[in-house]
Amino acid sequence: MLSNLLEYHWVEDVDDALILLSRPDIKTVPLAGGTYLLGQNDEDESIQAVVDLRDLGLAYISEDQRGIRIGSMTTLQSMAEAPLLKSFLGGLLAQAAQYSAPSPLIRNAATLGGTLALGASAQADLLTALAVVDAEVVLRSGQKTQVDLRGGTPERPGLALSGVTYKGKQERRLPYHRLSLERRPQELIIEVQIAPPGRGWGTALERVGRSAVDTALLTAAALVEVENGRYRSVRLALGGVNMEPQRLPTIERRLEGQPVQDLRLLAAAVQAGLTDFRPPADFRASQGYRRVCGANLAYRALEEAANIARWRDITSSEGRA
Amino acid sequence: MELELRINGVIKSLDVAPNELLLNVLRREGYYSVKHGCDHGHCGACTVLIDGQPRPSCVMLAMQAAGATVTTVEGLGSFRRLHPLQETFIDAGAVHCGFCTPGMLLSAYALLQRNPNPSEEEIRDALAGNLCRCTGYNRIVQAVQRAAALLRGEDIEPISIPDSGSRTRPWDLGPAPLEPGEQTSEEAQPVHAMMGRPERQVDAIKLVTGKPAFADDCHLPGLLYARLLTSPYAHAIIREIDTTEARALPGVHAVLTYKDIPRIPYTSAGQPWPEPGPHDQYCLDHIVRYVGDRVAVVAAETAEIAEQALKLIKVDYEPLPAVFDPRQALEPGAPQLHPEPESYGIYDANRNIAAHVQFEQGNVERAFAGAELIVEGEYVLPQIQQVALENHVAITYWDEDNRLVVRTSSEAPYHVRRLVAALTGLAPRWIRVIAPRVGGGFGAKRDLLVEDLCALLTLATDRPVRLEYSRADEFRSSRVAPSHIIRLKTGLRRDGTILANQMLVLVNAGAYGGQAVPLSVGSGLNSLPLYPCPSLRYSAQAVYTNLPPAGAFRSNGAWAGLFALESHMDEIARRLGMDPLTVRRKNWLKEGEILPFLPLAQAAYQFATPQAALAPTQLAETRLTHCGLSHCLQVVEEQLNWREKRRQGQGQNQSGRIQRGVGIALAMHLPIPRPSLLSSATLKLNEDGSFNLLISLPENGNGSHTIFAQIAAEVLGVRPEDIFIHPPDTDSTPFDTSSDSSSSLYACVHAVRQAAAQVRQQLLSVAARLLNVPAESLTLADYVIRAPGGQSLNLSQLALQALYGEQPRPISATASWSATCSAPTFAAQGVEVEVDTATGAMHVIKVVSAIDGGHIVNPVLAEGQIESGIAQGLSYGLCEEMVYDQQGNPLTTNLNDYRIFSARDMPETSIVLMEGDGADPLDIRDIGEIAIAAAAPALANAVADALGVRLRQLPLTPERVLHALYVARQQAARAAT
Ligand SMILES: Cc1cc2nc3c(=O)[nH]c(=O)nc-3n(C[C@H](O)[C@@H](O)[C@H](O)COP(=O)(O)OP(=O)(O)OC[C@H]3O[C@@H](n4cnc5c(N)ncnc54)[C@H](O)[C@@H]3O)c2cc1C
Ligand code: FES
Ligand code: FES
Repeated sequence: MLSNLLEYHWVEDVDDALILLSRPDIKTVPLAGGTYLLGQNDEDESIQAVVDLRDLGLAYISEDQRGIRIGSMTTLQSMAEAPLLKSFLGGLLAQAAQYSAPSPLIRNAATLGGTLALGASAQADLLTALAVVDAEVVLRSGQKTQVDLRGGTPERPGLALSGVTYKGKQERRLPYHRLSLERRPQELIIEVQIAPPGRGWGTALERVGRSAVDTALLTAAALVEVENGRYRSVRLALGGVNMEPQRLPTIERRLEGQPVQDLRLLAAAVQAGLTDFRPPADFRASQGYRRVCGANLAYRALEEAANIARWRDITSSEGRA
Repeated sequence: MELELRINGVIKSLDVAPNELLLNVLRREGYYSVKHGCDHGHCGACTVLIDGQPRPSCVMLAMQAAGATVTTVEGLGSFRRLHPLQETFIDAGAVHCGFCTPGMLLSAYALLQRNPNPSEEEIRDALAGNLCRCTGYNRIVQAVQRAAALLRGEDIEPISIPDSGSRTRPWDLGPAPLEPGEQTSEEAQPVHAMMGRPERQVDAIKLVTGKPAFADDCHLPGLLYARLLTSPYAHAIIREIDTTEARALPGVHAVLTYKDIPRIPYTSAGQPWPEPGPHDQYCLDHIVRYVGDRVAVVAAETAEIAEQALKLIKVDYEPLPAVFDPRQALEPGAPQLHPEPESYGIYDANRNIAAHVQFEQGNVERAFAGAELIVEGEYVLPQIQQVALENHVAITYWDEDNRLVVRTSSEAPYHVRRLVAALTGLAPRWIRVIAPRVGGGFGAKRDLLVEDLCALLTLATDRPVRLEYSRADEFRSSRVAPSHIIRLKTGLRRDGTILANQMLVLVNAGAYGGQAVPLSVGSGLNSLPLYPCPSLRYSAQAVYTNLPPAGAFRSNGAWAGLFALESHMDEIARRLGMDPLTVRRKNWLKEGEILPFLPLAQAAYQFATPQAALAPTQLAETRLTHCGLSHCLQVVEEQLNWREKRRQGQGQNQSGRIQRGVGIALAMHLPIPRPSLLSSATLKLNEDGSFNLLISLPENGNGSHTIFAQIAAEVLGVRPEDIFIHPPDTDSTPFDTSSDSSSSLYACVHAVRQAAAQVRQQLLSVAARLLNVPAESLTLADYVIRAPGGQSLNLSQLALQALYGEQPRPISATASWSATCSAPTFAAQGVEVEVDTATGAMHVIKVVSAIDGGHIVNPVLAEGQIESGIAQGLSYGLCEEMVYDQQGNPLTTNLNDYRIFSARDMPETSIVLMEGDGADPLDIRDIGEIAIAAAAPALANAVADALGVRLRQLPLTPERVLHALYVARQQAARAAT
């Protein structure tokens, strides 16, 4: 519970949300599904106001030439069920959203934006998947110019904002892997954009938990592109509970340009590249386990993604021929 | 803030604080079907539909529902017109304690709304966020499938026998006064024997419609909310405690610490007086002995104020050295948990031994010396949590006669009254304990955890007070099923004959030893007798450590003893190169043999303090008159396709990533015999020919009330739904020692039967007078008493005549039963498992269970109990474990970190109930506690079959499996070089 919550705001405009969030005198945070804000063990007693993002029209999944766009208020369940995401990248994101919260109750509430904002504390497989698809996150904040808002905004004179100084709005994009480091506290996550893969791609998602509905002790996601039987690009990430998803560039580089069918080579690359992988230890699993299991899952994910990619490469080059 | 909510189609305008949770608002408004189970969105008990989508209302502000439609189970269907899902949940036996039921129903409803023909997998996924600890989920899945079929307009065969709708049948007063010998005109309704039939649970309708059936489902004006301050140290002295600021906080009405109440040694374990074992607890003490131990308690206007007040209490702790491992606790110089002279009943306080039980027969050492093979093994079981979905909760208040009412979710109302009396100084006559339905107990609700403090707060404030544990409190400050270290040593002949068996048990009793004696007895009593041999040695010590106190978990440690023994039997078979079933068959208990241990167990209770060395041989021996082991094992062997599957397993196909294996384990359950077990029942006739049954055994979801109704109905020739059972209330329901649920159930069954028999006798004698025939010539069946000459009277006419006619008299009886215990239950269980050798993760494919459980009163309920036991057994076998850091802080304090089985984890089950030859209808035995014990060893045996590697420590986590495989490969490599 948010024991010191004094204000609850519904807004229909992103700008209004940004105005409320930038008030210096009353700590205001965005409220998406609320599953974390209200469900975490140690409540944040400093929060005095929330802005409900529900009516901002940010729950959407759409596609254009640049790829897929997913609004930050899209729930994990919508992502898991959306036909568009079930086919895009072999269903990688839909599957990851489904895995992210094994409880459909949570999936119906928890949002993409909340998950991204939380980063590692979200314990989400989705983040590991986002790490391999090179997602871009669109953020908005009020930063540039200063406007005195005593008495409200011109469009919304009713908004009680006495004493607030609003610094105008700004939109920017961040590659997903820089999000948790670079996002500023008042920045609102608007959407995620993912470019479509090239020809001959394949994806795979592997995970292990203590039970069928456990948070992942470890998740491996792979996106592989194959051309003429060789790895054109390899993207591999490992993540899991209490971990920021981690890309494994050594493995990726070692494989790129190599023949796909050489499994010994794959095993060697995984072995060699896993020295980069320093997973945490916690009561669920030791670091040693995560390393051994990480190697196994990475191998499996790459093998599967490469098989799919190779098959797709062959069929598409047949199509071209 | 004002908020308009559309709840179940009705628009409500509510005054809501910005931070109020939807769950709390709904309950405050009387939607009691929305339950509080975990606070974090992990359990699904609080599920509601928001615009048709199921969401947890505990992690949602009420404001978030503005403008949305909210649906609770109250809006699904009423008792007059149930929704098909509510119907099929009852029909399929999917409702046990009923605490999870509203949430399950809503999740299922939402699924069927968008997918009228879901696959089994889709159903399991839709229910994956709704945890249930009582069922094994499969019946719930079945209920959803059946409802889907009904909604699609298909016909389905009923599973259980519906009630006949007597609640809506008009009451025909008939002609009055009745002339002697006059015949009644009403056609009687056909009633057959009530026993052995899949009757529907008599209390299911209120549960599927979300009626306020549980302790917390009420609201009292002026209610104060209590919260508990617990120790952050595993062991410390409270040097000073200052509550000035907390008391000064507006809205705070009382703060209690050890300074405010007398220091009385007691045990919180709800056991018959005089409780066996240590009296080593103090309601609030100046020493704290585990992280989570009680320090202070606050009552305030709201839960938030109470929580705030806790932060204002200043405690100056002097940390003391702490010990968490029982082996270290036994060592000289280890920190001593109970040096205080006031505590009594401790076996050896200097060595931290709370209880010690020992048994020996034959010459064990000589037998070992003469054995051709000795097999030894050490088995480790973790500390686990019972995880009833309903948390501990009590509400206390003064009634209009200035008596203290304690409304509690307890399984032992009379013990609560006795203990609250002792701790508050009120005489029992000033205390009334009401124990409505219990939302799952599994042993944890036999301890007094909240009632005493809640009562003391009502005494201090003169206001109604509610003290409810949060889920984190349950993990931190409740009772746990203790960790065990069990060492087995067996001496054998090469042909597989066991010559001597020795079991040494170390139970981690935690900080208080309330259940130390039963726990020391339980693991041996329910395992070693499976394989009697000339020389037997059993020794168990329950040892204090600075961890939460040990309690029961669906038996007193039987599951621990059986995990060790049944794993060990497979190891013996491997060492002998024999089939595991052959070794068992060669050595197992047979009819006519003497049950070892029984005298010892009795003695442990008789000498409430088992200080003295016991002389078990002087006590009566019990010979086994019936044993269904062989039959059970045969069934499991066939259904599991043992021979074929074993050939494929054995870790032979080592190269494959996925390995399969099968394993079998046997189990027995013998309720611990107590000398002071007493149950009573009162039955009285109503004017319309129905009956009230008053008993003091709360219904916790095991179906006991339905069984009682069936038994009374059978004797009285009526249907079970015409037996109305009153929830336990120490003011009106008769005395019961309700301790071990199993033995109490057994005793209560007999009390009910006797009360019914006496009422029947009274009915017949009134009828005999009215019909002018001898009572012996009359029969009573189908609501009608018939005389040989063809005259008859229906029950309602008889009731009117008896109560208002000539020589009026009430028809009622109270009977009691005090017995040793029921006959043992036997079981065999088989598990087929698939192991992923890359991750160590496991997938249980199938469980086969055969139970020799005496006369089965209700097969649907019985199978439900067994399925539930399988679910719990697999759950702790695979994923349950309470973990602490080095300071004794629990790391698993929610249902995300501590995993229990969900609908998606549960495998296919096949359950066979053996009734034996012409089972004696009085041979009613416990079946609720046996199924939990065999699943884990069968699982471990299956894993050994799949991988060729034995895991001796539970749970079988992916890491343990992978580690064991790694070690085995290393050893194999070393052996090869
Ligand atoms: C029982 C349970 C189990 C869970 N298990 C998992 C799991 O295994 N994996 C998983 O992924 N999730 C899990 N979750 C969900 C988890 O709480 C979050 O990961 C969830 O995704 C947060 O989403 P939300 O919409 O509910 O966020 P909220 O709780 O509303 O917000 C979370 C944080 O993000 C901020 N925020 C929200 N939206 C935005 C935005 N658009 N821009 C900027 N900041 C924003 C909020 O201010 C807040 O600080 C679980 C939740 C529960 C209750
Ligand atoms: S999910 Fe809300 S109480 Fe458990
Ligand atoms: S019936 Fe599901 S928790 Fe009790």
